[in-house]
Amino acid sequence: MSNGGANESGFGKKGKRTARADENAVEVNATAGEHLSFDLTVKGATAIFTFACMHKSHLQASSFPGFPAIDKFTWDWGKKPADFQHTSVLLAEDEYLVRMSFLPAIKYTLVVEQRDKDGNTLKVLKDIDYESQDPTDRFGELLTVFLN
Amino acid sequence: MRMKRLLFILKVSLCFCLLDSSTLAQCPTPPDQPNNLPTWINCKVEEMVRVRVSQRQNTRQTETPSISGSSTSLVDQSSASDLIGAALNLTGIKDDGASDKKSFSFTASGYSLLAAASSHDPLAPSYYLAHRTARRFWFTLGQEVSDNGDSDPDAEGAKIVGFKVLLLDKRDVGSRDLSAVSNAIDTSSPNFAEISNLIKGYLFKTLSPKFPGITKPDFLINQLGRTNFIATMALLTESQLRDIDSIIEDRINPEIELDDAIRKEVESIRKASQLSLSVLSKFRKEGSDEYKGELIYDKGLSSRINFTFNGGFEYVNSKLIGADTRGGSVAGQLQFQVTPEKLLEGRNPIYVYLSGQGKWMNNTKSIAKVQTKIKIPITDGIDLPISFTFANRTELIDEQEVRGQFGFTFDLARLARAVGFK
Repeated sequence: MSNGGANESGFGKKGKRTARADENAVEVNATAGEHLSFDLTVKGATAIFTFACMHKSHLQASSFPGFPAIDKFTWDWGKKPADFQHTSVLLAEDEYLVRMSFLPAIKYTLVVEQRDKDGNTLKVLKDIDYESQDPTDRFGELLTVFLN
Repeated sequence: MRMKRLLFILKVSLCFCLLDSSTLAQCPTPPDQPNNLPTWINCKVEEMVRVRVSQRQNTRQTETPSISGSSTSLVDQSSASDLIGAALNLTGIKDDGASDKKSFSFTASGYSLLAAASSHDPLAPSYYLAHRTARRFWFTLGQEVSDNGDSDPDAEGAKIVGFKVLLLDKRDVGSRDLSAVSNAIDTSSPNFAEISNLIKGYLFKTLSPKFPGITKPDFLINQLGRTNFIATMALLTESQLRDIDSIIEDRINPEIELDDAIRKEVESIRKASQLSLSVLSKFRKEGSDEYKGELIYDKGLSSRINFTFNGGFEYVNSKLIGADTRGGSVAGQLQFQVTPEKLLEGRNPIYVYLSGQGKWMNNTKSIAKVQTKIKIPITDGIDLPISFTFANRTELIDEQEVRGQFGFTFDLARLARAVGFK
């Protein structure tokens, strides 16, 4: 379904995902300083989310100073060489996800950008709203990262 | 005519109740599947969790507590909508054919008024968590109108003013420890990412020969992107879809543990206690003013059954000297949730209520009432409650009375969301 250029779909019991930008994968030139920037805005009592790859969980809502009274969570990924490594090995491909729970929240907005070393936006990879009135709903937004 | 309409509504509600749970939405298969890859993968994993949970016959329901009150109820509940609610009592259907009072009231939380006055977004966590106290207060304003003629001064329209304060609130999600859910989502996420990666790898391996020379990044970005997703997925055979199910099934346990953690927390919230104090007054120009104060206690007995107890004091201040009345009342109610929320997507579940009330006023005989009520969701934010009440006597004549009544209740916050207001 399309809504003014946005792509709508349902998830869970009562969830709605509205995507304005939605890439499944991205090629990142890490050696040139390219990295990813994440903005997650929440509506409701508080947020429960995790940012993880296939190998481990990297960030939780509770990792951020000021939690739980935070309206917007912002982080960069790939600025440090270790970000794209697993046991000191640089991974040519990895699967990342931001997984959100609607137990304490009713809406999240996720914006993921590919940026150059100076912080300029190269591409908006994700710009998506997730809404649900069912506290058992959760959604994992996925992005495959290829290093070149 | 009224009874015919009532019977029709009851028939409709019965049809809702009898819907088989097998009609619940499942993850669609091509070509009606979700129109993007992340939603499709989430859907497939969730579908597998449902299958596994269903296989072990876990019938626990975990819908969010839904609380609203209307004048068709004998029993009040301990809290109301977080923002603004309204109740419209349209008509009474009495077996003696007499007309009845109509009332309309708005209830707003102190929190919604505070947020409006300070131009803050009431749904921003920083504001929501900083104003827990304001979410403990509700204010009610309303009007009662009668078409019963002018002979009885008490039948004249009354202004309704009231407030409610939540003395004990164990259901506030903002003050609960949600670390079990947070930990479960954290623990399961790498596994979920791996499932996704394996599915993407399988799709590339299986379908890329149909796109000669295509690289994996190009395949994921273009062939599984927004424009081509449905067409590409339609190339999968039944056997290949079963292979994908196997990938998920082999790694489903962390997902079931996450599902359990969320269900347990939601159930715990539903069962937690709430205690509130409510004061409601009706003021009339000519007739008697009425005051009612009551303590309201709510407790979840199971995931689908809620118990409410009211104990109150009533005072009627007559304009005539020596005609004041005062007394007490107690009421209890069991609320049964008939349908899960997902059965009627976007609507509240259907509820059935059984309640009883005893009332003792000076200078009058005591009154006992029992009531059964069904509340049917019409659309998101609008419910139709229908009630049948039996009383040992009415307040004016010493005879038994049976009456049916229906009205509408509105949750403006849900309505606003349903029509797209942010």
